[in-house]
Amino acid sequence: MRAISVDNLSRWLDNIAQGVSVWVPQDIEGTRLLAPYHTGDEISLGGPCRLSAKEFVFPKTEYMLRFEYHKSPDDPENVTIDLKSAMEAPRTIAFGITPCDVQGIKFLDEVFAWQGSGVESCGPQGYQDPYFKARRANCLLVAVSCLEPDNTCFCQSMGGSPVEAPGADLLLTRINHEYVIEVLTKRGGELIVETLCRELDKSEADALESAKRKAGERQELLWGPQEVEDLAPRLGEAFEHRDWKPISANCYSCGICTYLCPTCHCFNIADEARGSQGGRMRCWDTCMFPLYSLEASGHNPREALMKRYRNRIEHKFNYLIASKHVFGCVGCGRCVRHCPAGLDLRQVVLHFLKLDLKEVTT
Amino acid sequence: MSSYAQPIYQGPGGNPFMPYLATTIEIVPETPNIKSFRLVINDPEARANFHFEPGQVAQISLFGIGEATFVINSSPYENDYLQFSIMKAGEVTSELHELSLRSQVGVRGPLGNWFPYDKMEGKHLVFIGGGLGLAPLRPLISYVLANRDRYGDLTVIYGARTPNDLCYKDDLAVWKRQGGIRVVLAIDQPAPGWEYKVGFVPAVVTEVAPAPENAVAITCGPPIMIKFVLQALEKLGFAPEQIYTTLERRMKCGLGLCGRCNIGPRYVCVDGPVFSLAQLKALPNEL
Repeated sequence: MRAISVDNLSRWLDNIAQGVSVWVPQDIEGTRLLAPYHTGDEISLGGPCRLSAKEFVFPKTEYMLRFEYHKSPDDPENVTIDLKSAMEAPRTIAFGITPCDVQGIKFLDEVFAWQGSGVESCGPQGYQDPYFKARRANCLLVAVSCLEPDNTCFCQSMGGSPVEAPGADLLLTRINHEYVIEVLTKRGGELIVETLCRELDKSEADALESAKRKAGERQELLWGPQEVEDLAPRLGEAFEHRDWKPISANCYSCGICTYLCPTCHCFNIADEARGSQGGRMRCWDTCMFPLYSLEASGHNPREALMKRYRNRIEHKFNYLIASKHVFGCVGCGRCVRHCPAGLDLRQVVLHFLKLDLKEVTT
Repeated sequence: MSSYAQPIYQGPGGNPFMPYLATTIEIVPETPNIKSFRLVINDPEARANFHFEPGQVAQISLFGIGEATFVINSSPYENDYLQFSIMKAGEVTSELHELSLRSQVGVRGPLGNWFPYDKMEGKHLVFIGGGLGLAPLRPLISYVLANRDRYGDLTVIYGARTPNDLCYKDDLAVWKRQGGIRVVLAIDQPAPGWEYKVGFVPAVVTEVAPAPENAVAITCGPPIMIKFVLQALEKLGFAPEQIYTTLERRMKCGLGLCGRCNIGPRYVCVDGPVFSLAQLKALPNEL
């Protein structure tokens, strides 16, 4: 195992940023955000950024195809269209993301690069998303352990860990004035610059384990792993429960929880044209907006705020268990930290875990 | 048809978000606000490989305007073109209604599941449609008529607001004339010269009272009509397993990825649009 001194980090970044776009957490006007790294940039490692890392594999907006109309000069009625895919797969390194963001990207694999795995839902054959897969294949993930989790973090309650990052290519953990580097994949190993690192001895590896253990103990478990098993069936049973109304009453329906969420993955598809050419793009959408499910006929299955809020919670903690055997939540705490109405997802989950379902439900 | 076990959409270059270009070869006005568009896919190979099952849908797009989902309602035996009947309602459909012949559109499909016509063999079939809700039933009826000896009695109960709002008047006339299928037509309000039934579709279903024994009912129409038809059928003694419907939802990708068309854990675009009432009863009540 190797370690790199904090002083050597920018040299390392300069080295790996050759021909690759490297994004690192930076303090931008008081907000920690992932931004493209340029030599000399101040970086801000350790802890989550305001936005999750999902945009590396699932950008806020991306072109899916481009088109161009051609009119025949001799026969103006004769119009043809050139159509081509706008798929892009830039080589990217997401450097310094949190373990929960790695979990979020692994979750998106389940949605967009779904392998089937015997689950009945998702049609005769699960469709895969070639745009996601292309970006994913060219995106390396360098995670940094969260040694001091925020009091809104609950990754361990969702089966994750603040100090382990399965699915990442490298995991860095800060010990004193160094980052210990754990190589998790071959392509991660290729990022190592030996001359900037030193080898660790056995006692130092033990220090890493102890630091990680302490970090894990700093985050309290909201519920036990056995208890959370009941969540999906309980939510299924509580679909018509009267408590959805008071629980969702304060929601502004602003959708900020969905935009910040590392697992929310709904998207809209829209065309944009100027003159004879244009493109079809997709952009993040949110189930919290009433237009999301409004049909052309005027019918809307989830017009009421309560129904939209309920659908979001049911989707994350019940429907996804049925369709993909995973929760749509990694416990990053962003929706808790940034909800303008102060709604707390953890309390909603606890409410339904503790609710007496035998009571009158409607 | 049934030899194609999984008619799923691969898309040009294996990209299911990419449509094939197609040309409008015929536009048939059905009602004051519904037109049927007959399309031919430009690429001969893609055209030859386009196999669909009755009830499947496709995404039609106008480049620069957008995409929307429509059921393929040509007969599976009409190989010369794909037909889509489109009501002028939103942004995409309004622009589609402006199209002339030889216009270029995009087609992604076939998408979604289909009516289990094999499981319906040997049964009496009752087709119940309202307005444009006859569109998804049309390819199934065509299939069943082409394989008439495999099915029992056939009944079509079809209603619309006014006589002008009935779709597929040519088909209705042919079905009435050729026999082998009972056609019951209804409109909502009395109209001069109307010699058939008057009343809402669910009430007509109750009046016609198809027998549930060895029967399957297939229904499509506006959500409110479907809701009451399902109730009427259950009152007549149809079990949830004997009733099929096909659902509409706002859709974007059609591939089970973009999220919006879910009913509980199921996506209407890939797990549907065809559901039995038994399947729907197992899902959250959010139609």
